[in-house]
Amino acid sequence: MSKKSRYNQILGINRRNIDFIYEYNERKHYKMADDKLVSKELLEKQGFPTPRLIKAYRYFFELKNIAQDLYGQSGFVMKPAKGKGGSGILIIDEFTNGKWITSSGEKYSKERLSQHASSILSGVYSLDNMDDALLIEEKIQLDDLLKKISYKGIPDIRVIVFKKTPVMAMMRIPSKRSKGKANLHAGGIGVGIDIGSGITFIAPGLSSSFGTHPDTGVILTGLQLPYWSEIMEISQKIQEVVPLHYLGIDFVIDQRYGPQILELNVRPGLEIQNINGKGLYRELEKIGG
Amino acid sequence: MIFNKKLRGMNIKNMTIIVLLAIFAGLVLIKVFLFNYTPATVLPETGYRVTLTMEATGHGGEINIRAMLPPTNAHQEIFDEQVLSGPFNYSQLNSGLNRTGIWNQVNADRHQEISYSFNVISRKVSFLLPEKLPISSLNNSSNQKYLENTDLVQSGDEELVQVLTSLDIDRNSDLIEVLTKIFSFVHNNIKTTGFSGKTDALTALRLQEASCNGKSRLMVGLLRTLKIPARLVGGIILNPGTKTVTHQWLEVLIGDEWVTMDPTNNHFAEMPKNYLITSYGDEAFFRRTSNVNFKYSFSIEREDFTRESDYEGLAAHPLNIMNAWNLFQKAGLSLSLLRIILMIPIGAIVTIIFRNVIGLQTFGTFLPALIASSFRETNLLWGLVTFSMIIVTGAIIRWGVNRLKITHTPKLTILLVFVVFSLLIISASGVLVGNMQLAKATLFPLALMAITIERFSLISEETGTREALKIYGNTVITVIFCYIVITSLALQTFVLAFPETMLLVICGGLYFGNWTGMRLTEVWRFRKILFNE
Repeated sequence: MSKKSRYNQILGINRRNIDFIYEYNERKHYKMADDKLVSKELLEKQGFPTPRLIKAYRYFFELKNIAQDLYGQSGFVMKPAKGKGGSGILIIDEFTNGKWITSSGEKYSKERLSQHASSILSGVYSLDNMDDALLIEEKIQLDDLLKKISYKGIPDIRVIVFKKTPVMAMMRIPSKRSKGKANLHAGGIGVGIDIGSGITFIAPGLSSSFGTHPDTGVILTGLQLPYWSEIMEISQKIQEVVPLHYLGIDFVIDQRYGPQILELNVRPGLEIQNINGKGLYRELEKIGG
Repeated sequence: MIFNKKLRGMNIKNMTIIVLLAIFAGLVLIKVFLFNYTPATVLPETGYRVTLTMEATGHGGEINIRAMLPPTNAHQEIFDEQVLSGPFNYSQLNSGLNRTGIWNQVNADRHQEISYSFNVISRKVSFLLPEKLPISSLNNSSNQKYLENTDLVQSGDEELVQVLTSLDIDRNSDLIEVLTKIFSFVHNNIKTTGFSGKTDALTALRLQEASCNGKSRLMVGLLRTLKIPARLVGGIILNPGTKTVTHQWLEVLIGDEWVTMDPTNNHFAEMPKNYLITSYGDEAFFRRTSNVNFKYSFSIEREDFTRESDYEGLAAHPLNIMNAWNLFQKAGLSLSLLRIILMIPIGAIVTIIFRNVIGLQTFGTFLPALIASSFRETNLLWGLVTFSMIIVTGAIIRWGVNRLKITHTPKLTILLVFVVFSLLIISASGVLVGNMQLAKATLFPLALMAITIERFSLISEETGTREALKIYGNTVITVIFCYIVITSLALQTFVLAFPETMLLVICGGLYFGNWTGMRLTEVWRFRKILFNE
């Protein structure tokens, strides 16, 4: 293949913004993805699976009772609605001796928990540094297969959907280096997923050490992801409800409930191309306008 | 036809670009043809900044130092003269064509420094000599002064007459022939040496070698012997660097015109651009009290200057933009400020290219352009030093403030206070150590610095300090390029004369805003897909 045609396969950031995001996503609809609360309520109403919302807090006066509300509870996640890069998220595993204990072992007293909640509301973690809302969600119980391959944390599955067609997919697996985050920039491990079969692969040419997980040693290629047909079905249907026609969807797989939509992304990253070893633009062109 | 809607949008953009380009071209043409805009009136001229530093150590007595100051004339324009006299009394004496600076101190008992600096724009002058003119027809009756026999220029001396005879020259010879023969004789037959001290015309002739003084005096002597008025000219050859050597050449009066001759450096009837005249007549550059330890040097830098007086020569039409600038000036706005304001959008285009075409992520969209424009006060080096100091120490302060978990705007306010104080401290230190560039750091855009600190810290927190430093590095690279473009005097004066250049900036925005090509950094990012087989 000539170099020129290879250039034309890849989706660069300029083209992504101009030809896809600006072209197919209207700004007034961004909040359906950027604001997890808006997005969750919309998806839930339309019957899409998302982690169960226990409670949402929008105003400071509601926060007065937050410690009372959550007292004695565990197995929940506290997150900002417009948080970016996973900042501000607390995963509460246990409740002992009047304190909440996070998945990383930190202890939160009543005061500390309330303080964290008010930081979230005042926008400390928010995308635009404006006021934010706070979500309390049921914690995911990770699917056995995914639990086995990950080093702590929760692996997620990113699917790029263009005009109701899933175009490319990858799985992001937390590692020791990423400190339990699935974020690729933080050092999470990316694995390509064959969109037709849901079988993982490592793109040819990528470092061979990525064939296995550096911390768990588990082989990451050739894995058949569970619920793949459901994931594809959800991906195809979601744009009937959400008018963002170029979209990144992040899934997690729950042991009990199957695939859950974790969040939507208006500006899905371009690294998925390196993970899959092929350009997105060629795939998008096939779908056309 | 994949993206129909987009194609339509592109046509509108292309049309807009074409229309804007046409308006730009039209306005430029109107100015050139109707208002007589020419490169000479609009663009800056290259000149020199010359600083004469004199050091004298006295031992309790009186010190008196005189130095020749360059005059303004058809060849050279002297402006922005600055005299730093220290403890000396300074006065200036004008006599005839010459100006003398006089520094005097009664009880000089220490090491003292004097500095005299000025800007000069000079031009090359070539003289056209009248053909077929016998030298006998030159009118010289009123110029006895330029025919004089002096101690150093022994005109009419027998030895000089002999030279003229050997050159086959008399009062009936043709002017060009006479000048050529004498010039060639002095240029070729007298070897140029680096004598210091005074060499008179006859000594130069007898030794067959002399420095510029001796050769010039010999040529003046030969000319005066033929009753052709001539005078010595003292000056400096302006080449960037530091020097102590002065130069001497001569001028011949032909009709009403003084024609330059330099037999030392072979300039016949021409005055090179880099010759600076400091005195007319056989004047020493310095005269001073003899029993002091005296040192001096000239430091010469090439510099571009704009001369606002030139703009006034342009058409007085109300549509002539230069008149509008003059109006601003009357309101107290300096042209240099106007220039920098007009350059900020151009800097923004540079930033766009760095972000969207090269793909360097920087702090803030237009931050590099604005930072670069503030460096104009400090210069690039000290600007970058100040910028870096503030960002790094600011990030540390921010780290502390952030532990208190407070929201965005109050946090920025606290950082702003820090930035204000840091800049004041940096400025004050600049004043204390005598670094005036650093002293001007107070003029930095304060709020921008606070926002940059916040961005730096956020990135450092979210993706690591390495990433933050990378973006900081990118910002610095972009700032350097913006600075080079923004401070280009040629570009500045062009934009000042043709503010319609802003239309080109809009065109640039439309073009790059629609540019879907891959960024240079993305070629690297996706190299495995691009180059792997």
